Amino acid sequence: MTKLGSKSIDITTEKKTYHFPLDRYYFTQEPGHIWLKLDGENLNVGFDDFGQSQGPILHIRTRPIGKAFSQGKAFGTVETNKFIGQLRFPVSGSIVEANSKVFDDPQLINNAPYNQWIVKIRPTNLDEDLKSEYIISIGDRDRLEKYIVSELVKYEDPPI
Amino acid sequence: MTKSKHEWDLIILKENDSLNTQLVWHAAALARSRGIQPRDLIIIDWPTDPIVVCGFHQVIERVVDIDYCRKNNIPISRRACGGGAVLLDSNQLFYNIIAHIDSTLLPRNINKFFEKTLHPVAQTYRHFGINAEYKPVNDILVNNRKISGNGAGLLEDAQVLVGNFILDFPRKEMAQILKVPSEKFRDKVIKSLEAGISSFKDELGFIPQRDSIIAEYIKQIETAFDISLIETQLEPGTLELMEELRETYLTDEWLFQVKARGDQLTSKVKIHGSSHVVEGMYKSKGGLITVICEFNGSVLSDILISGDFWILPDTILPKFERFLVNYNLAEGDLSGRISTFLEENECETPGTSSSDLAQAIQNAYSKISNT
Repeated sequence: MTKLGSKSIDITTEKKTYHFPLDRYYFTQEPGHIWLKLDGENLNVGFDDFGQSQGPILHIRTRPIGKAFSQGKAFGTVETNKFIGQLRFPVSGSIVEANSKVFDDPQLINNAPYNQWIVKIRPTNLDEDLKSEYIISIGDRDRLEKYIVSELVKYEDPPI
Repeated sequence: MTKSKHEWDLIILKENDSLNTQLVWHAAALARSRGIQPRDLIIIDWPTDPIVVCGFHQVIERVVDIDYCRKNNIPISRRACGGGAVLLDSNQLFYNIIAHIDSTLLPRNINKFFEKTLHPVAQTYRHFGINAEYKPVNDILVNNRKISGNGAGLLEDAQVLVGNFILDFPRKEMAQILKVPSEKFRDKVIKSLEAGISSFKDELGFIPQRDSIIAEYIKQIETAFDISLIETQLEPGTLELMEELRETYLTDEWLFQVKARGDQLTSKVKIHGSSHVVEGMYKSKGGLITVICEFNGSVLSDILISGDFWILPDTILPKFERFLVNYNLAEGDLSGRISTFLEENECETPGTSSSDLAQAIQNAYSKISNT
């Protein structure tokens, strides 16, 4: 079941209700589930509610600060249940700061995924990168809903 | 007309150099992601000699007795999968399942991925009369003892499961490679490994022929995945990737890349140029305590604790560090505060007292308070 609020989308499955605020971009390139939100000239980047629900996050690592990478390259890894997953740069740029709070206690992301950014990225080609097929724009509820529903089906936790 | 089964490649390398057993699946996963390996594949091999392999996010110097490994010529490597440090040796049989992320045969849900990929392992043990069962998330147990170790990950666009059949387990050797505070503690580790890990030899009194285990595992995989495994060789491009990785995987940059929060804290020096980030050290009987502290006036605004002293449980350090943050050194009685934390969290710090830990922090603070 999808509940469309004015500021978010909530999608319910047998397991839980997934929450997606519409005030930010989402990056979908496999394995996806990255949110990004403008913060001055930087972008705050985090893991969405679907991403965090794959299990308790035990460790996070990211690339070093300062080195530039292109959109889609891995910026870090997360470990859940002995599984190492990837986090991808949603736009080209470099990490300017890593959130030490989530490195100390990664489960803060499990508790409140949208309150905890993982890294701040200084974009180098933002306007072009935001046109990528893998970016869902702020407020694009139709694309966001389609994306999440297809992911839930793929991960065998379909909406009810 | 009957639908033809998916075909996967089967690479049976048999006996393999210990480092090669790790390089090969890393390389094959990257090769599968990049299209060099055209089909999903399973690699089966075992190491000629022992090798210590740590989990991707582990701080190696905190968990492995590096000196012991060097003295005994046991290489140390790091895998791109989760979990803890393990000693791998010739009495284990490895399987590596590698599939492109677009493969519809392997679930994307982590729990279901492990369930599907580990079912054939449990069934193989059962074929030999061992009552092994899959237990979520990633264990194969017999009478509550683990009889197979498994980790998984995503390397670029390839999903990987790595695991082993344990033919016989080297408990004493495993306890030797782990960093422990005392020999008495090492005995505890051996007992815990005896109680917690089993093997073909423990369960049957003998080790079946490797070829028969491999043959049964192949049969179980083909049934569970509904595929045909076609035995072949690795692509030349994959072998080239192995050689590239070889140059990386034994370097300090790869092995010691995880420095707890060192990178994050050190980076603060760059970002907040006005903050005071200083290092303090103190040598206790239990070992050297090293702290990197960020001070805002007399308030400890961040701290990273490392060194070669021992603290149990070994996962407590991040919590301990968080506990210390915002402590005002002008208040005094840092030692008492640390003592309370250690007691409340039932920590053991053999040879290191709360006042030793406090002294390391005071030594850091004195560097800015004296300027």
